[in-house]
Amino acid sequence: MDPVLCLQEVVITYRTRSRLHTAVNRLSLSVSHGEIFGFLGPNGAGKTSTIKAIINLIPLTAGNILLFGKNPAQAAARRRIGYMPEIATYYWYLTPRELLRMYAGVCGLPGRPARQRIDALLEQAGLQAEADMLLRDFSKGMMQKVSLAQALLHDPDFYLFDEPMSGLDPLARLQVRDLMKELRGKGKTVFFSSHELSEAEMVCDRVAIVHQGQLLKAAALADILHSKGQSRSLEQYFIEIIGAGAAGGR
Amino acid sequence: MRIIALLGAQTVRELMRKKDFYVFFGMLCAVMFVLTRVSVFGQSDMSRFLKEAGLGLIYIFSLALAIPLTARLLITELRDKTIYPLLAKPVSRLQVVLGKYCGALLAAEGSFSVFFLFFYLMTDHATDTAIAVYAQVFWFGALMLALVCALSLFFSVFCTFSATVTLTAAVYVLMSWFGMDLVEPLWSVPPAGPALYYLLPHFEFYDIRVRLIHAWPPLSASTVAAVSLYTLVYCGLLLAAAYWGFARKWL
Repeated sequence: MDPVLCLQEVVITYRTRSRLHTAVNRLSLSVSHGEIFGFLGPNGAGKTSTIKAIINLIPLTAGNILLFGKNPAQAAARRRIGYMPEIATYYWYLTPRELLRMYAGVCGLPGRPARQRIDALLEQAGLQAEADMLLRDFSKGMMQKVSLAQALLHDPDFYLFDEPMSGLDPLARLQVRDLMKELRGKGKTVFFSSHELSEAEMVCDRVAIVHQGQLLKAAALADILHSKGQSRSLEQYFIEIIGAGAAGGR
Repeated sequence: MRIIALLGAQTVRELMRKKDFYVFFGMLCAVMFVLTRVSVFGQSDMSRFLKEAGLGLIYIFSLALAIPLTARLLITELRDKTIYPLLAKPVSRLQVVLGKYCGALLAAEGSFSVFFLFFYLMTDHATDTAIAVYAQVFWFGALMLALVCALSLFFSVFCTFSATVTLTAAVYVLMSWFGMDLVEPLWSVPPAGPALYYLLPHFEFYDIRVRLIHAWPPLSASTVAAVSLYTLVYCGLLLAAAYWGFARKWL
């Protein structure tokens, strides 16, 4: 079976006023069906740039990205993505119901099933009472729930979450972790970026660790935690490998 | 088409919720009401004065709504990052540009229609002016707004909000008030001069208010068709350029 997501020698270079900055440097990895894949790295490692390239927001300087075997520039490939951005901001003058209705229309969901799905998602997110309130009155946590609902709306096969735990309280984090596991149980694929290593350790099947735009390690989580005859936490491994990567980079 | 219509509808909803339209409509009603009551220099027939002032207000209020509304559409999407989840769905950048334009156009033309209908009801249209002139003034105003929205959207791809509003307003004012005076000297410096003449949007074409104020006869059908075609082509070119810029933007 083809991988859901395949990155081949991806290079992303930003042009700043004075120089070129390479955010992602020859990154290659693949994500298989039905797994939770953690894309980990410190701030500025190139995680968000990679995610933006996956959804075709920024062009690649070199390399190739295949989403379900297709170029992400094709609408057919993006139809199967549920994306949740790191900073959840939506149109302030819409209500969550109107926002989800608009996205349902954009995704081609027909009227009655779309309404039923929206009601179910609002209930699942605990937002029934706020369903007809304007989004400008929402707190950050409530906005994050709306963000999650829009990602789940069209029941995609591949979920792309950018820092999904960021700014959430412990209970909400637990809910997000449970949701990821539930999605995996339904045969969906979850790819998420994070620097919250303890969270990643609790849910991931495989992880990739990036630093300064380069891939340092991509492996099954179990192999990382129990390698060379010793057990360690993901955080210990992360600090070890990032330290080595930083030393190598100097 | 469905996606463009959805994005357009969302823009109209924004206008209605932000209440700018109601403020301008309230001001128009108040000023028109006052104008019907005053007597300038003791003249009893205020019909022409009312038409001139009323039409002037409609143009000013319509532009004051259309230019900032259009200018902030793409800029706000980028600033608030609401464009990310939208483009992650099966939506192309061309659909975003067209959807935003259609929404701005609908909102601007809808407001202009309400203003104009109110103006029509307030003036003594039954006596001195042919309905065709009213229709032509309305149509030319609508065409002018279509071009203003396209120009504002085009600038908004490359400039900040304030720069977009300033540039659009400046181009409109310069070309509609001093259009011919500005561009006529350009003919003497070929090829740049004539090229600039054709490149600039000729807003002076659209101001036919004087025909209504002085009860002149309507324009010929061929003139109306030519101006309509000019607007269509010019808007098409501006939208193509806006898409070209937006498609190359790093988000």
